[in-house]
Amino acid sequence: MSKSARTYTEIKNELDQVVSALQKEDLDVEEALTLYEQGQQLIKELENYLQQAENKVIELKAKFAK
Amino acid sequence: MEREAIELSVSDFVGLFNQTLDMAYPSVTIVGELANLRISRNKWIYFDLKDEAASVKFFGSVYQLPGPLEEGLLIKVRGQPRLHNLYGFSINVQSMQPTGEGSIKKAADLLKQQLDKEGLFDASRKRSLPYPPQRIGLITSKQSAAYADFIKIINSRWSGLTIELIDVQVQGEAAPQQIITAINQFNSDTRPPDVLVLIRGGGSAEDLMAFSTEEVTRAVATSRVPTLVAIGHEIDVCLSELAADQRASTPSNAAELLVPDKLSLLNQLESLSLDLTNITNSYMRAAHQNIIDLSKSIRDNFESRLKAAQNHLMASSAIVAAYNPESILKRGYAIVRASDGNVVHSAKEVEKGNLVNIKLHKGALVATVDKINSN
Repeated sequence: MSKSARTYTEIKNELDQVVSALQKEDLDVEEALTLYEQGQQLIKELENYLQQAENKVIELKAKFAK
Repeated sequence: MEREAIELSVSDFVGLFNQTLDMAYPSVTIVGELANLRISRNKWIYFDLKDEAASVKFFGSVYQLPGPLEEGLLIKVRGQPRLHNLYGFSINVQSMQPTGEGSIKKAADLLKQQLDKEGLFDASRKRSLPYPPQRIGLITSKQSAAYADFIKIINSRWSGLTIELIDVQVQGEAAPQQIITAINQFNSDTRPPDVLVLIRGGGSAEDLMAFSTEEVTRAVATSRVPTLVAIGHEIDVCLSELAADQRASTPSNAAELLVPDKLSLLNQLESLSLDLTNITNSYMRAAHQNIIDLSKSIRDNFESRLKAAQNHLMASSAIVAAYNPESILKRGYAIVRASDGNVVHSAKEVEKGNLVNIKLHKGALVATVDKINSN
């Protein structure tokens, strides 16, 4: 997994923050719009992650003679 | 002719005898009932294995004990027969373990009590597993159905995982040591995985025994990396399962506990996206409404101010009007001026016979004063 690829949890945490920010009362329209777009973009990213990211199985060399 | 008996010294005999034994029985496995277990200087153990007709002495070290044992347990010992030059014949233990359903269970119970007392199974020690994990350290047998099930379900439920597998024997004598080595290998990794998973499919008590040995149970309990252990079927509970941070009933159940189900998450994401749209729309509407309200309130404000101004104007003009002589005259009053044009305020200002000018609402009168009453 390359360092740059974000983990599911990292993307999800950012989305949670966007959603809670959007639920604040004193939000001005401008802010609401940017948060909205950000949120939708993060949802897309999560969906892609779930649909495309492959699981990898790597067999480690065991330190004993099997 | 009878061969001449070879005369041997005692030590030669012992040496020769042991050589013969080495060739004949380099290693022998014996099953029998445990008796007279003695531990000396917390290092050496002496015990007998017996059956109805015979009894053999064994000698070993405490590290070979699979856990606390009890008289009468059926034990299987692999060892080297040896004639000791002073203490006679005994078998040096290479490995020993309880055998047979009853003894295995009994030995596990004894060990459980001991480890329980040490607090190895305390709920307070349990750590929660990362959910979802990113890297899984998997310790199982690569050829097992358990492994295949686990991977199948993990793949159907989740994505983007890295599963690092160490292929171990999951039963038999070599199993415990391999499992421990694998656990330690993961734990000593500079970047250990998020969770360690030990799985094994169903089997007899003997098959599952490796996961109830003291060494494996302690290794699981003391793992720095949180552990999930799923051994055998629902009903089989191994000690390492009790010592683990999380127990699963079967390998498939382990996969279900480890990772969320992406299908349900995808649905949740979809509804979240809708919520997001709704929240934002409501913002827009609220903002829009806000603007409307705002402009309305400005207008109202303006109008009310306007009205106030108008009222003010009217009031002041009414006042002005009130002071306007015309309106006074209209109400029947008259303005009296003396001949010099000054307004007469008091009767004293005029004398009998004076001429006065009386201004009425309509027209005016010129009159002479014929009587003054000065009350």
